[in-house]
Amino acid sequence: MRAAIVIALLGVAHTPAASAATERVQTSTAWTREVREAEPSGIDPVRRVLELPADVVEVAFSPLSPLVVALERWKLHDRLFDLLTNEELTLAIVPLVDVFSSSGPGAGAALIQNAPLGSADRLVVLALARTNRDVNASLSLNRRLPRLNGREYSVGLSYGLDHDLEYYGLGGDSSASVVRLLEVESIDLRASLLLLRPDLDWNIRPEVAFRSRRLASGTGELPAFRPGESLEAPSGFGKNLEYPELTVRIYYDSRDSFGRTTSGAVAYVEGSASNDLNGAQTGALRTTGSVSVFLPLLPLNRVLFLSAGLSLATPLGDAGAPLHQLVQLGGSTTLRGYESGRFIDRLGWWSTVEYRWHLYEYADSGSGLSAVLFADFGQVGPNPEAMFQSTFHWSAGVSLRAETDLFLLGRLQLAYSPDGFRISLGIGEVL
Amino acid sequence: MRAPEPELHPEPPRSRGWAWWEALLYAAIRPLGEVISPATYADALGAKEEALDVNAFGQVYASSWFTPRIGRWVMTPDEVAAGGDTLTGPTTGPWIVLGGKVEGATPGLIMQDLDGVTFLVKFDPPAFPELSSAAELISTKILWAAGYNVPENYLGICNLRWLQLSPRATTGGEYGEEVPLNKSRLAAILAHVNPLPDGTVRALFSRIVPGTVLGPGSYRGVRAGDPNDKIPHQHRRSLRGLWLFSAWLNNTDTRDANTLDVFVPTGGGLGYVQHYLLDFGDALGAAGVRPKYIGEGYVHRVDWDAIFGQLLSLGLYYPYWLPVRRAPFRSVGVFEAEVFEPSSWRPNLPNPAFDAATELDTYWAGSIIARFTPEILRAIVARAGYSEPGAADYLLEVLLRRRLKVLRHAFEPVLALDDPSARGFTVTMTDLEHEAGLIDGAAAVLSWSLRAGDRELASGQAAGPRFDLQQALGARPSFADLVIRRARGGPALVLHLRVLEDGVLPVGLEREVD
Repeated sequence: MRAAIVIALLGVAHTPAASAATERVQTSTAWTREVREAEPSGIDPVRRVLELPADVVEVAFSPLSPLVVALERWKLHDRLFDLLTNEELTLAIVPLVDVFSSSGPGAGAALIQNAPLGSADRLVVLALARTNRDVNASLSLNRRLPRLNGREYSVGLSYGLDHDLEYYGLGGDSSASVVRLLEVESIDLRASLLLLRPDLDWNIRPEVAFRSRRLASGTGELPAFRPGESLEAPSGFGKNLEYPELTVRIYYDSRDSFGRTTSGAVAYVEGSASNDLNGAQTGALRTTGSVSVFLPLLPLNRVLFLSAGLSLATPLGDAGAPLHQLVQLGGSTTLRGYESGRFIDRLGWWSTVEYRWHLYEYADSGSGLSAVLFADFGQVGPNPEAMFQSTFHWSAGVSLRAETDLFLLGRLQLAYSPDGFRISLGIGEVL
Repeated sequence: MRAPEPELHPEPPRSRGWAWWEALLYAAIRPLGEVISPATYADALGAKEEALDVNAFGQVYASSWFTPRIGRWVMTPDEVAAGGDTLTGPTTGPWIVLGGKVEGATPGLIMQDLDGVTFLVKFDPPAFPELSSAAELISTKILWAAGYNVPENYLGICNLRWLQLSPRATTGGEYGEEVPLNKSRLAAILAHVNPLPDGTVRALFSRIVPGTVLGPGSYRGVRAGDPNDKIPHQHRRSLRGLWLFSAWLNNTDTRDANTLDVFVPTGGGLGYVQHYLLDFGDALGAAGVRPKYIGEGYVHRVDWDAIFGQLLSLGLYYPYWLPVRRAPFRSVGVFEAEVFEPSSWRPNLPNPAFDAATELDTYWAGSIIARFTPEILRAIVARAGYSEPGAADYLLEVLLRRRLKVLRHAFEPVLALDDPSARGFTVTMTDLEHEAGLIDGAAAVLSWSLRAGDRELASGQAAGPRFDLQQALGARPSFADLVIRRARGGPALVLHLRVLEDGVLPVGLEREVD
């Protein structure tokens, strides 16, 4: 039994005869009339010492106070928002900052036209540059065709210059220590159309594209790739390659939500063909299939996510399949504990097991955080025998997803693999 | 039972509160600091400091913070329902509009009536009529009766056709700057109001408190420039105990921004600071312009305990408040008593005074809440003017059931006897648990022991809190201690008595905490 004692025996004053109001008080209670000479300051030195670490933390963060106060006082967030958007909110300029890339930090902006707001009719112009002179620029236009019951067409043009693409060579047993840098300059022009009505779970999207690629030795902290050295050169290295490409994707999507999915499935089968026009003898037929399933394990957003996929690239020329048509594992969606493009070959399979659970929701806004435990598996190889007979790769990790009911805002992932730890930030549409 | 008269001083510097910084500080920075602070763990082991603004009986004395009312004398339901009102409301129009209300979530105006009295006029959200105005009125009455300084709030009818713009009227602009309040801006404010065809709408008229506004108060520290503000606010029982009132009324928005310090001039450029609580539109089932969301009042807006509970349990943890449902009345919102547990109640933002509360602070608040009888609460709820059939009865029922829960929580660790008084050698007290219906006659039997120093003078049992000590005090010691506990066991209460020739006088009281 704990004892907390209030002790304050002060001077006693015998209550005098009083007015009616006071009499009423005196008969119902017998409070003494007490007058304290002065209120104590209440400083307990021992207590102050015990509270010191909390005060130190508060002081450490206090430099943030002027910024936060300025934001609130001058409504800087509102001013910036009004500066970057139009009055109807159908046009927005979004600053972009990327600090998680191994190529170095980058900054840029995206211009988004979405009319009406929230619709699938969208124009996005994006440009981002990094400190190592990498550049990404793209323009994509999505529009629905009312005369075709809302079928959606999409056109896009993008340019990319990557000075330090990490290349580990082909094969599922490539070593992390033998990485070389490639420089990849790419131009992609594409156009696609949804053949069926967008409200259906099934749909077919054919796409025609024209792709230009130039592969050269890269520059950066790691050694540049040189032909003839330890790693096999990717097909078309050193040449200017131009590929027309035709792709047909048949997909099925029955998710209950694009943001916080708790049930449903996504599956697709895709076939694409591309062949270089400049005599580099490089082209491929690529076939890919993938199935992802969301299984609600427990009520309120406790979900098991299972995904598996298989892809095969069949070369059309003597020089083999082009790099962009090969199966690449590693990055932010497959084998997340490995760098992007860690394992490359003609044939590959991948799978993921994730357990997602609700972590936090702000009020009843529908926006919040989910936590994820995940494990990825996969392997690549030149042929099925080599691929399935070799030990598969794995990685595991945790992720934090920022979601709304409608879409995924982004993911922060920490994954581990035998190559080490890897942090990645993903923004955009992933499952 | 009065603090010394305040020291008169010049007007202190004004301060301005910043809601964003306050939210970041209490939602993220302080919790981070508290994790590594030994004081947090010492508190968990029962080492919290007791409040400093209390007298020998554990009561809060009258001051510029608090004036004991219902805990001090018996008040009739009508007295409580009238609650500090000095008017009957604003006069009829025309009213001069002096400004637009830019702070807070609900739309409003500042206007002056024909008698020159200035009011802040607040309107209910059109989709939820009576929701926030009723919540504000009921909470104001209860907190005034408890002893807190609150504005005078009146429910009435606002005739929009009576509004006349003052040429000097201002409001907040798009980016918070002060701009003239013109007709178009006034129309924008009133666009959120849903008047009847005759231009009338129910509104809450909050009389502007007298004095010079210094700015929001704080639940922590002291105000610079106020020589009377010696006790850090988190060590004030009146503020600590406010948590129990807030839990009872589900007043979740207990931020610094909803307090107000006002300089009251007394002449010669001197005066003192008076401390107010205000803005109760987030009490009961309301949250300003909408009902509370499910979970509001059960978890902080950013509740690290809940987040880490979810994280470490891998989602196996489900919060206890999931079964909470909205009341079947639009004017009541989310307000219930089934799931509510006082010990688990949480304001939107952690409150340093609430976090510092001890069992004795909680008991003190409970001892006041116990005075709000069903009749008193019925009279208060009637003032709120619910028009939805059944809403008033529903709200009253929930208030009463929540009251029982908060009283059980407050009285569980102590012996809830209070109001010591003596006539001659007979000491009587009030058994708050018995009066509140928490225990029946058998459980109310008390055992007592009268001691003078180490010597026991007498002992016995009593069916109720009435002790005739004349025979026991035959030797007339100067002081004696009456130790009381329930006959079934539990924490004790020690009443210190001064023994006089013709009777005894209670001079102090100690409570054991279980």
